[in-house]
Amino acid sequence: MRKFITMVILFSIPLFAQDWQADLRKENPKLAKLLDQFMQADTAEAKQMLAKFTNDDLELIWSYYKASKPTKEQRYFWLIEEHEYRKADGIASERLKYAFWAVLLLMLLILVYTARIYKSQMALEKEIEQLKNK
Amino acid sequence: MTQILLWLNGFLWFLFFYMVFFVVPSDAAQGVAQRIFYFHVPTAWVSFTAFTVSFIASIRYLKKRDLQLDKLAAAYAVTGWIFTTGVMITGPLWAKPIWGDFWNWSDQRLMSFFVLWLLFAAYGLLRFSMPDSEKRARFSAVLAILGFLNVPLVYAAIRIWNTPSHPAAVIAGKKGSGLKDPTMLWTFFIGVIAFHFLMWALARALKTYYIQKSTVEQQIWKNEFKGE
Repeated sequence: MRKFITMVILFSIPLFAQDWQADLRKENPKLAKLLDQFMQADTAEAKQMLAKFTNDDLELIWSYYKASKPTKEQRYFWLIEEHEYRKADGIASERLKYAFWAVLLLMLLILVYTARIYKSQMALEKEIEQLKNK
Repeated sequence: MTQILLWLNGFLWFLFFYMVFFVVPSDAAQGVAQRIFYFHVPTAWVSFTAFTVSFIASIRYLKKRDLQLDKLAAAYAVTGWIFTTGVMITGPLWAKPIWGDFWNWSDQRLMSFFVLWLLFAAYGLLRFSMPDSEKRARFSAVLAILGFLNVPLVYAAIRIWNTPSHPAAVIAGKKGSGLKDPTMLWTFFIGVIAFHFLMWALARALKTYYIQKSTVEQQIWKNEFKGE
């Protein structure tokens, strides 16, 4: 009997998973198709496919998936979301720092070069004035 | 006319900055770091244009032996080198958050560009170290022509060697390359035009300076000769 109950629980997991995907298929068939392709793709291909999902797509999939899980598991999702948020925040600020330095240094380089031409030109005009006065 | 062009350039720069930081969407994979692209690639294109002008002026100098052409070639070569330095600054700062490293020594695009930078650095040193204007003009014209020969190689590097680390070409690249979003494409081309205007203005100012300086030097030399 115990074995039977375990088997029922184990087999019900994919059924639960099917449920939320069926709901998603009703709401957004195009996205559900993309999700199917993503699930069937090999690791390298699946990683490349990540960029194909828009922010709205990810939000929809995630909310459907979360809703299909029992309340206890929601706490794990909180932890995962917090971890991902902190990681993404760190990466974004790192990228912003490099973008800021790249633009700043490029502009400084052009500014210094422009100032150098201007300074040389001014010095030359002074020299021309002196030559004229001689 | 120059005044109008300068105002237009100012407007283009304002529009360019506004689009890069407020309009264009972030890249899905690279996030905000991809915005460096709008500075990095136009800077590289501008340096190619400057070296092309320098190359043509150098060939014409060797034919006509007109020192004005030498000044034109020098102004564009030096300005082009400044822009390649800009590429050498923005490139590694873009690479670090994406590749995890500032430089990849096995990337042919990077190495061919580094060689281009070195060649035109040598051009600047050559002009700086030669006092004889005729000899300087002749040697630097040859070096500008040799240096330019590297430009098509840099351009074709990611197409010939299929470099895994360097991003794909923006235009005429392989399947899957290029900018998909029209805002990205517009921002990029506004950047290309703005950088070209800037390069032209700087090279023009430098050429005027070179010509005036050589006239003053000639005048000083004449005065000294008269004094003797």
